[in-house]
Amino acid sequence: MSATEDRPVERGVGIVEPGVEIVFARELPRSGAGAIEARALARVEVMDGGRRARWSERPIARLRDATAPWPRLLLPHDLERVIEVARELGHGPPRVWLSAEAQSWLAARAPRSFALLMQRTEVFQRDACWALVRDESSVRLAWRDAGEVSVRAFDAPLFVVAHAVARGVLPGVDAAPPEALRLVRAWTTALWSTRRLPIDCRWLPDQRGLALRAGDGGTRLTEGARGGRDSVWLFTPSSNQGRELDLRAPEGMEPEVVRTGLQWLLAGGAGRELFVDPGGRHVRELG
Amino acid sequence: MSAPAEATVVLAHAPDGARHVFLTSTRRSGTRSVHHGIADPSSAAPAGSLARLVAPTRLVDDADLADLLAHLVALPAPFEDDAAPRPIDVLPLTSGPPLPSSLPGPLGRDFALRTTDPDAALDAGVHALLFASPSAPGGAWWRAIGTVPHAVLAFGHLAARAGLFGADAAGDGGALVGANAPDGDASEANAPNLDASDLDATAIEARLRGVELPAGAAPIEVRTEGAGALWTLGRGDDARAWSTAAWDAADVERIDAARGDALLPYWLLLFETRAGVLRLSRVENARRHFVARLVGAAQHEVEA
Repeated sequence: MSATEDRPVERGVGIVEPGVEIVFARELPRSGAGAIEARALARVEVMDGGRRARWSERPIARLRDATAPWPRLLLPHDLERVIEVARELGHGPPRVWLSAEAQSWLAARAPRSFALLMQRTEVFQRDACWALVRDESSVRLAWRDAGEVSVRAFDAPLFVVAHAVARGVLPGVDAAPPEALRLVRAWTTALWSTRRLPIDCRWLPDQRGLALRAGDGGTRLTEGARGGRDSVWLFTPSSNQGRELDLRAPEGMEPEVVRTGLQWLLAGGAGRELFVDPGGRHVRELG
Repeated sequence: MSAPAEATVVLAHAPDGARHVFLTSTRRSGTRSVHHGIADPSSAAPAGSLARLVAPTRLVDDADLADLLAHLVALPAPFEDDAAPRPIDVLPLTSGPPLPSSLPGPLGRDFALRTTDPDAALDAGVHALLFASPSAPGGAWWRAIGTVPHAVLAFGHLAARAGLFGADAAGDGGALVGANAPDGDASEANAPNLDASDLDATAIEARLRGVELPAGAAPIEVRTEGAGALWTLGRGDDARAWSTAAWDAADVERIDAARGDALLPYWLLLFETRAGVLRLSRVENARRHFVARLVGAAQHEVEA
């Protein structure tokens, strides 16, 4: 299911409109050295007067280079050349197709090239994807549609809780006990990833809840809205008053994507951004 | 037609009322079902260890059963809002506290328990005693599966008295076993009726094992009221014309081996009538026996 109503603008196999297009490969660029900020795999296609051709900055020395689907582009030098070529041919600025992760990568590691792209070219997004961005205190979720670059923020209480659990806290709970953290982790993982209750947790049929077998006997989770899918109540020995934890997953998000995002957040780690395609198959993490 | 069960649980009630689970089978989508041992929640072994996985499970109350079922079947999909109860087949081999018809399960889905007749667990004409060795959780015990002839129950009492099931094996109570005293007059008229507990354990064991008896030692005749002689505990060659039941000393050795097996605590003593004589025919691992039966049933279902 797509999060947008309109049919997204997708790029076809080849160039169809007159002008100059740069298509970046799905493989991320690599850092360069010296004047070269980055080496990216990208194809430059020119359509001029009904003629379509590939453009290359360097003379083709080997047959392999002529047929290689993804030649190497040295940024920002080659980008400047392409912009110039487009101008010389009398076309508008080059249309650039970039994945969301490549946009993030270039913005962080190749600022000059990225500024050039933003100011002198028309950037379109290759492949719609969900993007998760986390820092020490927060996590944000956005849908980044294909075509015109757009970032649509989504509420994700489940991800907020998962991010908090990974950092050892719980939203709205002062000094979350470790046992409560383990239970929340167990419940969300069971619900979305394993589809099994973990063996170290005991199912409490009378309360419709979960407690650790080796626990203190007072800390437990009970099912809240939609049988615990949307929220759970957390009870600890110190507070008889339960606290409700919102565990709603983003509306319209595919279960595979929820699972991927949840695992990434619960695992912690150094990565700051995660990009997941709508099927949950193509996953890319940026540090 | 009723919905297929999401899981099948084979359990038995011990004399203390606790439920021992031997075997569970979980149905995956389609007709494939998977049979496996299950983890013992009460085990002290570390989580995820092999000891936990092969350990048998003893359930004390209905909450334990709900806990087991909640771990046995997959959780419903997170976006699914189906509230229908999930059918679970339970096969109680021995009688005990009544099983609940419904138990609360995770994600708002209850378990609907459907009880199967214990006689379905055995082939027609086969009677069985279930024996839990001292390595079973909660210690040794033995009980009859379903309804069995007096002779089968009497054999259980004799074996228990002889210590074949372990020193303090709890067993099926109630059934009185009459017998003549081993050193008394062997004739039926003079035999006093004795309880199994009055019999000398060593004398019974010696006769069960077919040990050469000293001269003058009489066979023990075991009977229940109105049922006549059920077992004659004498020498192997001392078979009486009116004997209606038989066993081999080798079977008793197999019970010994079963008692000593630390990893496989549940065993079946299978009795069959052959040529008019009730015989102890096999001593089998209970879990293996029921796996074979359940797998056979599942395959039959696929073929049908």
